[in-house]
Amino acid sequence: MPYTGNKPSAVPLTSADIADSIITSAKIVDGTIVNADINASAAIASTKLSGIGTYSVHAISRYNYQTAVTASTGSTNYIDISGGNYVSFTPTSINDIIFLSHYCSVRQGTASTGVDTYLMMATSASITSGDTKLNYDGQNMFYDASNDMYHFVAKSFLLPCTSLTPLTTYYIEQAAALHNSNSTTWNYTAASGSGDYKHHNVSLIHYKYN
Amino acid sequence: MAQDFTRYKARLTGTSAATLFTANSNDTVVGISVANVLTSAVNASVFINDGTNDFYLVKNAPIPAGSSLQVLDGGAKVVVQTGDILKVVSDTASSLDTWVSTVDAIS
Repeated sequence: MPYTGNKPSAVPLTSADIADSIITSAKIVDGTIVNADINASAAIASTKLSGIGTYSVHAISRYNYQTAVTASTGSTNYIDISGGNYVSFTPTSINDIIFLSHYCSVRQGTASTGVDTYLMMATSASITSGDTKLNYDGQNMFYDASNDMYHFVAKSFLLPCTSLTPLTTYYIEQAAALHNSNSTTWNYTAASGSGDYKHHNVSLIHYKYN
Repeated sequence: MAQDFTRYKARLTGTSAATLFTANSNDTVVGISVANVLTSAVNASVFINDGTNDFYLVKNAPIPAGSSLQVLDGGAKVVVQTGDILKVVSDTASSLDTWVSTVDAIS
């Protein structure tokens, strides 16, 4: 069955019927390219990828600051989270990173107004709170399932949002504030106490993954 | 003996089968040219309906842009009888110009 003009060399068409360098994006059905179509050695330059591998500062310090609360310090670089005050942040992606200075707790749900029971922290190797035992040394954070919050026991830290739910608001609250000589009793209000854990002012930088 | 040569033509507008002609006697189809008038390849079918079923002369034949398909080749002919309907269809609207040459009422 002859063709006049251009002829397909086979039925169905083979690659030989298609001239080199003529297939354009318009010829490819939208949404059909999948990961397997990309060669593992493609080494696509990151500059050609949109929103990959870059961070931008989404919010600093007073992000979502509760305006009804007066900071106990005059610095605009800190947020006063003493006395049950709080500041919140909302990860936009699990790849977001939150920088927090000083000790504090992060929880999901309505912020504490000072009535929450915080997990106890101790300087000993064992931290006891309810039925939870945690190793203080070497631990930067631990999760308190009973209160659905994370406690941070480092002076400052980066909080990867991989364990957080994007678009959910989390609240930064005062950590179990002050320990007393290896005691498992912690004082929540320790504004005038001593020790590293008395800090009530935190800086928050929300790095948004683009 | 004089022969009554007849031609039929169809310019497809849609993707439904278009009738080229309906045999009114024992006719002979001596040529079917199906030309792709678009700038991209299409798939064409030519078939005869005998009143009950479709019998394909060619089905889903790819026709590249700038090309036409001669369904009958090498002196081949197709005989149809009264009531047989020759149809053409494309998978792309407004893509085909079809020309059919027949000899009517051969006896």
